[in-house]
Amino acid sequence: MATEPRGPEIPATNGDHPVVVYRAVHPDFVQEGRVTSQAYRLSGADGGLLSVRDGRVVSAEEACHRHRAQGRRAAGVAALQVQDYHGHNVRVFEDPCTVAEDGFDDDSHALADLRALSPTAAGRLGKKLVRASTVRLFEDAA
Amino acid sequence: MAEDKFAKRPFMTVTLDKGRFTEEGGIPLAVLGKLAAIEGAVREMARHVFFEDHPDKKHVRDGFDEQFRLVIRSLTTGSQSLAIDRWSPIYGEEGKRDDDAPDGAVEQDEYDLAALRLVEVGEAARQEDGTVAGPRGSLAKFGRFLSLLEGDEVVDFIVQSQEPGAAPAVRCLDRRAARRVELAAAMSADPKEEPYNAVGVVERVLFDKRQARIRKRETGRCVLVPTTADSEALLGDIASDGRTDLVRVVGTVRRNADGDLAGFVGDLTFSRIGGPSLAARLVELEKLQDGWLDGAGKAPRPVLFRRAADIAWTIVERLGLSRPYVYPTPDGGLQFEWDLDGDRGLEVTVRHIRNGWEAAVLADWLDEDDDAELPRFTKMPNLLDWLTRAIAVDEDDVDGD
Repeated sequence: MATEPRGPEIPATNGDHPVVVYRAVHPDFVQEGRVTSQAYRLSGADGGLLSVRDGRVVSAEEACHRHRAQGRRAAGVAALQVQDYHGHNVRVFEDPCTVAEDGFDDDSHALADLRALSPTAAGRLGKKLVRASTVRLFEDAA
Repeated sequence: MAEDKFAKRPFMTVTLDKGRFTEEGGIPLAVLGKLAAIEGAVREMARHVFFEDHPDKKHVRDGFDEQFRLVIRSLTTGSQSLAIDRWSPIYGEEGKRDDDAPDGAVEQDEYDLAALRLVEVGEAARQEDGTVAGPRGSLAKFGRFLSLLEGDEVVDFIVQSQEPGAAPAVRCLDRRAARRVELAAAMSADPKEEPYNAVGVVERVLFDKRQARIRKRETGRCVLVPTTADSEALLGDIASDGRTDLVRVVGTVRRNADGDLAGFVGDLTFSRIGGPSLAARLVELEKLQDGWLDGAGKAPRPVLFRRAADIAWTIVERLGLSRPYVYPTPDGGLQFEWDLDGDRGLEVTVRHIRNGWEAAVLADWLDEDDDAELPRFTKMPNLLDWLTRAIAVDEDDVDGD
C-alpha cells in the first residue's frame, strides 16, 4: 500500500456534477443491508490512507467488481461525494495501482487522506461517513 | 437369563465448542441436565424397540432397565470432549443368548439399537426426510439433548457391534436437525391433520397462550400459537417493543385429539417480526475464522460471544432499546450498533480482556472532542449508568469507569 497518494487531488465536482467515490464493504460489515462504521475504519497497514475508488473512472458496480477481482471480498460499496469528505477536512487523491507496484492494475484506486487524524478521531469519522453514505450491494456471481 | 457381570464400556463422546466445558472451569448444571436427557431418550426408545420385537408382551423382561446406565468417564481439559460410558452386562464373545429365540440366536441389545435408532432419527430429520419413528417422549428428550449441540459440534455414539469380534459402530450426529426432531416428536402423537396457520415465538420469549402474555424469556424454545386476530395483534405489540426476537412461522399444522397444536406438516415459511435478530446474527458470526477480513481480522473468542450477548441483552432490557445490529471488529471484538431516535447513533464495542471484558462506547450525539478517548467500561453497572445518562441527556459530561 502506498505511503503517499500517487496522483493529484480529486476535485469535489466534475463540471456540474459532484464527484462520488466508492468504498468497498466487506460482507461481514453488512447486516440486513445496514453497514457498520467499521467499513470506514482504517487498519494499521493503511497508514492513515483510506482506500476508495474514483467514481469518475468506475461505476459503483464496477468498483465492487474490481475489489473482488483482486481476491478480496465485498458485498457492495458505500458511496460518498468528495464534498462530504471535504466537510470533515479530508482530501481525496487519485492513487492508480499498477502491476509493477501493486501486482494489479486499477486506475480507479484513490485514497482519502486521514493521516492528520488521531486514531480516535478517525474512528469517530468512520461513524459520520457511514451515516452519510449511500450503500449499494451487488450479488457475487462467483 | 444367565447371571450377568457388569462393566463399563464407551458409549458416546460429546465434543462441545464455545468454551462451555472448559473456559469457565467446569460443566454448567444446565448442560448436565441436557446430557441426562440422552439416557432417558435411549431408555424410552429401547422399550419401544423391545415392544416392536415382542408385540405379544405387555411388560419388558426382568432386569431390562438395569441393563443401561450412563456414567461420565472423563472430561478432557482443553479438548472440550466429554466421554460417557455405558454400565452394562458383559455378554461374552458369542453375544447374549436369547432364550426365546430358536437355535440359540444372539439376542439384540435394545439399548444399542435404540441409540442407533436415535441417530437415524436425527439423520432423517437433518435430511428433511420427515420420517421419524419412535415414542414421543424419547424424541422430545432427544431433541433436548440435541439442543446442547450447535453448528459443527458433534456427538459420537459408540455402539457395541452385534457381530462378535467386529469393531464397535461409531455414528456421528450434529445439531442441525434438533428443531425438526422436536417438531416431529410433537407430531408423533397420532394427530388429526387439518390446515391451520400458526405463528411461532422463538429465541427469547416463552409465550403463555392461555393468558396471552409473555411468560418467560428464554433462548431456544419455540411455542406455537394460532393465528387469530388477537394473537396477531398481540404479536404485533410484542414486536413493536423492539426487545424481542419473534419469528412468524406459517404452514399447515396438525392438532392432536385435545385440539392442541401438535406440529407442522409440509413446507414452512419463516419471516422475522421487528428488528434484527440478535441471536441469529451471533450464531452467524460464531462461524468467523481468523483471517476473515481478507486475510486479516481476528475471530472473536467463543467466550466473548456469551459475554457480549449478555451485555447487549442487558442494555436492551434495562434501557428499553431495540435489538442492536452486530458486527465483528478486526481485532476480535464485537460491535453492537443502535440507531436511536433523533438520528443518534450508539456503538458499544466489546472486547475480551484477561479478566473479563471491556466495552468502549461511541455515542455520536454527544458533543465531544474528536480526539477524546472513548469511555471504556469493565463493569456492567457502570456501563448501564453511563448509557442511561447519555441517552437521557443530549449533551452531558459523563466519564468511563
